[in-house]
Amino acid sequence: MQAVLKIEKLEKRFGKLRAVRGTDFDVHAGQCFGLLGPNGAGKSTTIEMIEGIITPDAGHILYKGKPFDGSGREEMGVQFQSTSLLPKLTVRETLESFSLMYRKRVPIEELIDLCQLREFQHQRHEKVSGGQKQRLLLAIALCHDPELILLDEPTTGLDPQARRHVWDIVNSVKKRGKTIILTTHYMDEAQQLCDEIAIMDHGQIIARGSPRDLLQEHCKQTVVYLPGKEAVDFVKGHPDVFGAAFETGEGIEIMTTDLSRCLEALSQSQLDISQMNIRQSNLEDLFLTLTGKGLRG
Amino acid sequence: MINFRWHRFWSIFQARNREFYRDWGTLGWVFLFPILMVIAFGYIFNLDDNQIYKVAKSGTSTLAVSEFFQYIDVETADEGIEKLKKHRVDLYIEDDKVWMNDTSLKSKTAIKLLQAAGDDQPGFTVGKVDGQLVRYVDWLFPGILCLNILWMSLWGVGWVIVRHRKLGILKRFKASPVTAFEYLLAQMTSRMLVLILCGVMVFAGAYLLNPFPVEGRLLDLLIVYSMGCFCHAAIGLIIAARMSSEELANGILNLITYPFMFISEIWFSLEGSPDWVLGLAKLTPLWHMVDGMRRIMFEGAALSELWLGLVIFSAVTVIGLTIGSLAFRWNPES
Repeated sequence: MQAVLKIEKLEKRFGKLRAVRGTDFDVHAGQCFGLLGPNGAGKSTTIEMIEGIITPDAGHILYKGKPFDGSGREEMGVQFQSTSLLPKLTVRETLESFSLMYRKRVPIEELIDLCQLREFQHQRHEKVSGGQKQRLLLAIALCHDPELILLDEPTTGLDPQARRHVWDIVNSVKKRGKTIILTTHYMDEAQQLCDEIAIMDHGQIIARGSPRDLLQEHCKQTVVYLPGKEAVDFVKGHPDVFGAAFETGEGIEIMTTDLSRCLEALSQSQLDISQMNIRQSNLEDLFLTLTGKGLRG
Repeated sequence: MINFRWHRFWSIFQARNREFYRDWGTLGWVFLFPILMVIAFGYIFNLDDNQIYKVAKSGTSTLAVSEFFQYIDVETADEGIEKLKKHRVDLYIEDDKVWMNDTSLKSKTAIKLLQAAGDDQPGFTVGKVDGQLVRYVDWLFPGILCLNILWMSLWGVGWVIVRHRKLGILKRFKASPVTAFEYLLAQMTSRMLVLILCGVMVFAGAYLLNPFPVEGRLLDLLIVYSMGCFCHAAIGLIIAARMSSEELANGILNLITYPFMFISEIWFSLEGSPDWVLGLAKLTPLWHMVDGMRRIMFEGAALSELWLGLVIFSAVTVIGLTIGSLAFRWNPES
C-alpha cells in the first residue's frame, strides 16, 4: 500500500539548535498517526514543515508520491497548537470565511453540528471558551473535507470533558476514512486515537509502531509506585535489586520485570508499603524507559 | 503567472470589511480626522500673524522691503493674481499697485504692515482680487483629505499586516490556499473602499455645510483621490512585506509620513522655496495627489493635464503590489 505521506530525512535547524534530525516516517491512507514527545522534542517543527509553514533545511516531504507544493493545501486540513483568527468575527462568520477559501466545501450546517458549535455560533470567537475555540479550529481544519488532517496538540490546556469532545470529533472523522497526523503529549489521547505512534526526542524518532506493539516490544515491566522520601532513598540504594526507577514528585516508580523479587525486597525493608500501587506499564512508562524523562518535561 | 481566485480574495475582503466596520473607534476616527484637522488648522493659521508673508512681485516696485515679507518674482500680472487668489502668496505687487485677497486674514494683515511702513514709503494703491475666491480653509481642505489618506493607507494597510503577522493570523492563512497577492489585494481593496466612501461623505458634508468652489469635474476628482488612495496603500504593502515588529513598522511609517507631509503643500505653499525642495516634492505621490485635487477643484483642470500624477499613482500601485507579493512573508520564522 502506497503511503499518503512520506517523510524522508527531514532536517531543521534554528541557529545552533538542531530541532529535527533526519526524521523518516510514512503515513498510510485512513490511518491516525501520532507524534509523541515532550515539549521541545521537534513534533511541532516536523508538523509545521509538513504543513508548509516552515521550510525544511534538508529532506523530502512527499504527498501522494509527489513533492508537496501549494496545490496540496486544498486537500490538507490544519489545526495549529495556537491560532489567532481575524478579530471581531463570529464563530459562524469565521467558519464561512475559511470555507470560502477552498474549492471543495462542507456545508456550514454540517460542520456546526459535527463540531457542536450551534449554541455559540453567533458569538464572537474571541469570547468563547478554550474548548469551544478548539472545536471551532477543528471545524476550520475540516471545512473543505480534507484528505489529510494535521492536528498539533488539539487538546492541550482543555479540561477532561472538552478533551473528550475533541476525541469524539476526531474519531468520527477517522470513521470517514480520513488520514490524520496528530501530535500530543497526552498518552491516553494517543492510546485512544492513534493506530500508529512515533516517539520523538531531541528531534529524532526513537520508537515507532502501534501502541500495543511498542508496549510489548519495549515495555514488558510492571510498575510499582511507592510514596515517601524513605522509599526513594531505599530504592535508589539498591539498584541491583530494583533496576530502573524514576522519581515522580513525592515518590518513586520502580519498573520491574521480576515483580516477586521486587515485592520480596520491599517486604523485608522497614518501609510502610500500605500506600504501594502496582499497575501494568503504559505509553508514559514506555517513554520513561526510552528517554529517561517524563513526557511533559 | 498570477495565481488569483475570486472566492479566496472575497473571503479575506469580506472578513476585513466586517472587522473594520465593527471597530467603531477606528471607523469614527476615519471620518472625524479630516473634519477636525480642517477646523483646527484653519483656526490656527488664521490666528497666526507673526510669520513671514509671501509677496509676489512684478515690474519695478520701490515699495519698502519689510522684514516680514518674502518676495517671489512672477512674470505676469495674471500669474501674480492667480497665486494670490489661491493663497499661494499673501500679496501681489505690480509697480505701485498692491493687490490683496479679501478672504485671507494673512493678506489683510500684510497690507496693514505695508501701510504702517512709515513716511519713507512711496504711495501705492490697493486693489482687491475679484471673481470666485478661494478661502484658506477651502485651499486646505483637499490637503487634509490627502493627509487622511496618507495616514489611513499606510497604517490601515501596512501596519495592520505587520500586526496580523505578529499575532499569527497570517500563519493560519498560509496553511490555506490563499496566495500573498490575494491577501494583499483584499487588504488593500477593503481599506480603500472605506477610505473612498469616507472621502466622498466628508467632501459632500463639508460642501453642504460650507460651500467651496469646484471648477472641475467631480468624477475627475474621485479618480485622482481613488488612485492616490491605492498608491499610498501600495507603499504600505512594501513596508509590511516582511516585518513582524510593530515598533519598527511604526518608526519606518513615521519616517515616510513626516517628510511627505511637510513637502506636499498640505498646510502651506512651497512658493519661494529652493528649487531642490520643489523638485523633491514633485517626486512624492502625495504632492501630486494634493496638487491634482486642488487644480481640479480651483482651476478646473482636466485629467489629461494631470497625467504625470496619474502615471506615478499607477506605477507605484503596481510596483507596491508586485514587491509586496513577491517579498511577502507569512510568518516571522519562515
